[in-house]
Amino acid sequence: MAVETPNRASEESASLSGVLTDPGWNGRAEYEVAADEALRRRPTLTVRNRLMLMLSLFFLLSLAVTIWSIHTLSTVRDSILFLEVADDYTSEIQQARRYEKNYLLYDTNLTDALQHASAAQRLARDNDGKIRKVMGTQAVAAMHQHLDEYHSLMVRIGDTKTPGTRADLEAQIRYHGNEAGEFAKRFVTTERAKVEARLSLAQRVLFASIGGVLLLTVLVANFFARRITSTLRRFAEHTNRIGHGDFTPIMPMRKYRDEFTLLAVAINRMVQELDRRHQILIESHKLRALGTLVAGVAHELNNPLNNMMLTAAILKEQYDELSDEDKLEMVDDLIGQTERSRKIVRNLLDFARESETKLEALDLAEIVDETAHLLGNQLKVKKVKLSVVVPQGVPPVHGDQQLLNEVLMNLIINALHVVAEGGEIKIVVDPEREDGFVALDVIDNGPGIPNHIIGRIFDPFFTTKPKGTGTGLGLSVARGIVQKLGGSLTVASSPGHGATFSILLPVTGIPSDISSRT
Amino acid sequence: MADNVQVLVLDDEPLVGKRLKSVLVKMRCDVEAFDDPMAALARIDEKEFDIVITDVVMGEVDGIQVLERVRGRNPRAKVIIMSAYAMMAMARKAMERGAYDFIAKPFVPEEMRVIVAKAARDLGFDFS
Amino acid sequence: MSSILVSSQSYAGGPEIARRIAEKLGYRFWSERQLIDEVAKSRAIVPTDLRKALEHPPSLFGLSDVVRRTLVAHLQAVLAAHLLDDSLVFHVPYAHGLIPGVSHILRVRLVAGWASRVAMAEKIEEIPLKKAEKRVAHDDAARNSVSELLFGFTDDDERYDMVVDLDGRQEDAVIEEVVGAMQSHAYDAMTYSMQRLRDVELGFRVRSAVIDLEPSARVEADHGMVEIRCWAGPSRKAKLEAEVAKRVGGLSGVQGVEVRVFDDSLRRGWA
Repeated sequence: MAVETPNRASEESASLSGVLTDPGWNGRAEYEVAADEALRRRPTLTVRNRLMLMLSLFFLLSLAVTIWSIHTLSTVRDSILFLEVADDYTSEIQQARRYEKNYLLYDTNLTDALQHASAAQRLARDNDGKIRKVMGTQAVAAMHQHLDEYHSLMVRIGDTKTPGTRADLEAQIRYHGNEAGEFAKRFVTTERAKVEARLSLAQRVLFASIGGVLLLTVLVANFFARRITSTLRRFAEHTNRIGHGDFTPIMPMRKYRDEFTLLAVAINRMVQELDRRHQILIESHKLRALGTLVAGVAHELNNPLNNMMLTAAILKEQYDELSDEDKLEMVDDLIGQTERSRKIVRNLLDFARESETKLEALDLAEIVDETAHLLGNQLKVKKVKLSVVVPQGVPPVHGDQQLLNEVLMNLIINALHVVAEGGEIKIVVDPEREDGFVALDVIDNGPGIPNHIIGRIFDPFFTTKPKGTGTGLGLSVARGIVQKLGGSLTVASSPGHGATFSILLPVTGIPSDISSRT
Repeated sequence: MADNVQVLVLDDEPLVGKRLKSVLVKMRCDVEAFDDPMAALARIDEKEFDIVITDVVMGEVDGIQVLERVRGRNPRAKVIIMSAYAMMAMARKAMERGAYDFIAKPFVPEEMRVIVAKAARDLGFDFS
Repeated sequence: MSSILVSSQSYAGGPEIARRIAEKLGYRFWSERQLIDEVAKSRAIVPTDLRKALEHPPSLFGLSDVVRRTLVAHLQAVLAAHLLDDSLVFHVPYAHGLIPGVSHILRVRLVAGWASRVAMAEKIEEIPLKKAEKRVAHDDAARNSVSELLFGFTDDDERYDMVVDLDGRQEDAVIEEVVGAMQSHAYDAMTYSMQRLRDVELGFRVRSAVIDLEPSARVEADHGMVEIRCWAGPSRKAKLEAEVAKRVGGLSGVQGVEVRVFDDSLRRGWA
């Protein structure tokens, strides 16, 4: 049996069919258990763990950036130190070349030139490894060779006086000195470029890490917003629904279990318990409606009982004087009145009967008649006029006769409580108000419902009657039933002008599988 | 004053009037029974009754209205109210409006006989 | 045959007003003390216990609920018997609970202003103002809790037929108001209300007769047909039924007895 509700159909259809097949709470309990399991079956990823994970990530990122920065700084420092060496070397070479020129032009300072060239040689030898790393082994080897050549050529030119040989040596000295100088220049440029590159990289990395931190912060904020506030909002919505008497359990919405899962499970437990109690209260409300009815019916029974009592007593008193015909008539009266009493009791039992919900095509006019008849005496005692307007050709509605009787009974009893003696209650059936539905209005000319409570009158336990006289469940039960039958129950009222309760019930359609088969 | 007590019985349950009539005519009462309140009211306007026995809840007309109509026409008349819906408030209201007695349904004929005899005696009839 | 039950707040001058109403109507007057003495005498009870049952709030060392209910059941039986006998004015507390609705019994509650009650408490008890205030407040609280315990509603409940506020009014005017209500015929006795009172009296008499067997006993009487419901363990059921039926069968006015003993495993009979 599938019952479609126009709203929240997908979410609640499971629980609805459970409730409709079983008016008690067993079906619901199973559903609760299913929700419970679904909530718990998910892998655990608590909010705490997530938070820890995020914070660890934060820490690791910062650590990496820091370590890298320290490393970069120390290499830059080394490079700067090395750059000094390169500068020293360059200046030694330049000094040597200056003295070399002086020697070649004025024949002075050869010793100085040799000294500086040796110093350059020493520097290059001491830092050989590092220079190799920067400039490459081949270039360094060439540099050594040029330096060595330069030095030994200078030594040789000092000993040589022959002009021809001297000129040849001079040219060689210039060549090798020039090569060593060029190398020094390249060496400094390269090293400087390297330091600069490193520094700019460090800058970029720091900028990037600021960006990363920013991104992470946004992610964490987003996480909190999504995970925590949205979950809380969901719970708030859920508890609101509970407040309005909807006892559907919370179903899992995420892939993982977390702290909220425990809360959801706890809330579901609470809802289950509330629902159970609610069902008990609904039963007790039915008993109370039954009490109202019984009071009326008990009094109503007094009439046939009185007829029987008088008839039987007179039959006994005047037995000897009465003709057979009279006696027979009196016995017939007794039978007739007994029959009448039985009918009254049966009507009451019909209302009290516990039975399974049976959805069928129903004639609203019949239901209105039946309920009005059942309440006839209460209406009579309060001299309330009940008028019923049912137009011709109202299509049958889809519902359960007993449930609809109960709804109508609740609405009429409610109206009966608010109208003054001699007041009026109108029941109007309107098949044209909405497509696919039949509308039924219960209109009273009571004092109306004040604006500040009209929004709450369908809430469970809301009552305007003095403490202990109303359960506050009548309207909430009525709305629950109508919604389960796929309809709606609304109220319109303005203070001083009575109230109108409107039920919309779906018209029975021809089931599609049957129509396609024939 | 006529020799017999003039009694009107009104109840929308026809059997009540019918049975009470058969009981009361045996005790020197002239009884007219009605099950239509409007007809009964019309008859009350026409004729002065000593005792009026009426039901309370009868649809559009209620027994208290009948009581007031009878008392308005003849303050000496004794009005006996009977009701299947007997409740304290209704009983007090009836008595306040001048009912002679109030009895809850169901009752046995003897109870009504006692009340009617007492009312008749109070009216000066010679009832033993 | 009409009667009046007057309940008044403490230190409101209720007994005197009730006595004067009785005088004016020519009814016999019964004070709370007279009623208690009579109940004590007829049932061999200590009068102090009856007074405690009506006035002392429930407490750990006071009367047990069962004893209190038993004492009050006897009191109700005696009270109802007197109401059936004669036109009376009783000055008793909890008129709204002691006797259920019978249309010819007027149940009045007299209330007075706080200041005048405190002043009267000061004068009568010869106590200072602070103590008098405490006394009056204590009395009101005690009344409410005893009423709640015995009948399930408080003393200031709307169940009274009439509530008269003495504050700022002449005593005479108040007396006139109550006497006037009685003279309106609304509280005249009739076949229906007399039957009801007979049923009430029989119910109380039966309960008073069986309450020592089973304190949970509840009794309904209708035209002499008595229904007794009590709650007891299954082992006692048969014996209790027989015992109760035997005792009740012999009482005057009883036309038939039906005893129903329910399983008390859940102690649901207590209310």
